[in-house]
Amino acid sequence: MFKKILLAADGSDHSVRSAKKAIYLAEQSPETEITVVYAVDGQTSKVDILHHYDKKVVDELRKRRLEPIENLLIEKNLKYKMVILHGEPGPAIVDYANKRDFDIVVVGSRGLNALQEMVLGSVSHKIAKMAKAPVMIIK
Amino acid sequence: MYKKILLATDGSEHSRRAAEHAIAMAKCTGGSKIEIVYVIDDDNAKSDVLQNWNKADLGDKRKDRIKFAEQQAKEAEVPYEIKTLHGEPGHAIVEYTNKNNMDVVVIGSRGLNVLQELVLGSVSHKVAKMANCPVLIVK
Repeated sequence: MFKKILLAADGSDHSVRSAKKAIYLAEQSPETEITVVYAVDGQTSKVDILHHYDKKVVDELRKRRLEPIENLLIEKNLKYKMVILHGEPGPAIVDYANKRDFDIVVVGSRGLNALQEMVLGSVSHKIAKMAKAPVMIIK
Repeated sequence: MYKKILLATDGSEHSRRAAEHAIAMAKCTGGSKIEIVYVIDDDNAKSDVLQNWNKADLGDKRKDRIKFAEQQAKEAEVPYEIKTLHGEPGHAIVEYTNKNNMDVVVIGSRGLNVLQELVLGSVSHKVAKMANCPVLIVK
């Protein structure tokens, strides 16, 4: 049913739970591919670089954030792809999703940044509103 | 995994698409059941009664709105149950979901009432925020 799944992740607990649900959906039909998308916004990118100014270390760090999710995918032997986007998470993920034909977008209800959410509205809400594909919001 | 599926419907285009997704999901897991929920809010109740004096007619009209979902479920041979709730759609659906421990809620992104949505915010957003379980928003 859902052959092309987009999973928005930032390494938070919610995103790990979303990953589990996405994997469950993927297991329902063969030849499903999960695309894991991690959007790095300006703020995170600044913090990352200020803390570690070696580019290689930064890349490593970002990969490590998604490691729990990647491990789950490897464990289940699913086809997957990791993509790192730059920009404000909501629009960046929507843009990526709408340019390709995904059957479903899976996103956690809350990410890492609670304060920003209060001010700007949640990433999941933005995605739910603007993405063309069905959106599953995981608690 | 998703055994108790709640399908929120109001007979709109979006809710029809939501029905298709809910049924596809129900087919994935054996023994799952769809609860088709239609909420009658005060406004609707008023205009329905004003336009149809006869109570029997009224029931027919309301049934019409869920007919599509019901037919689809019947054709797919998925067990289902129809529930009519009264009250404000967002809250009524959330309350019902949380009380009955549903596994997933499937809801269309936009309902019939566009104006109300602008003023009060969309029902799907409310449900996505307040329900305790994953919410699939169908476009």
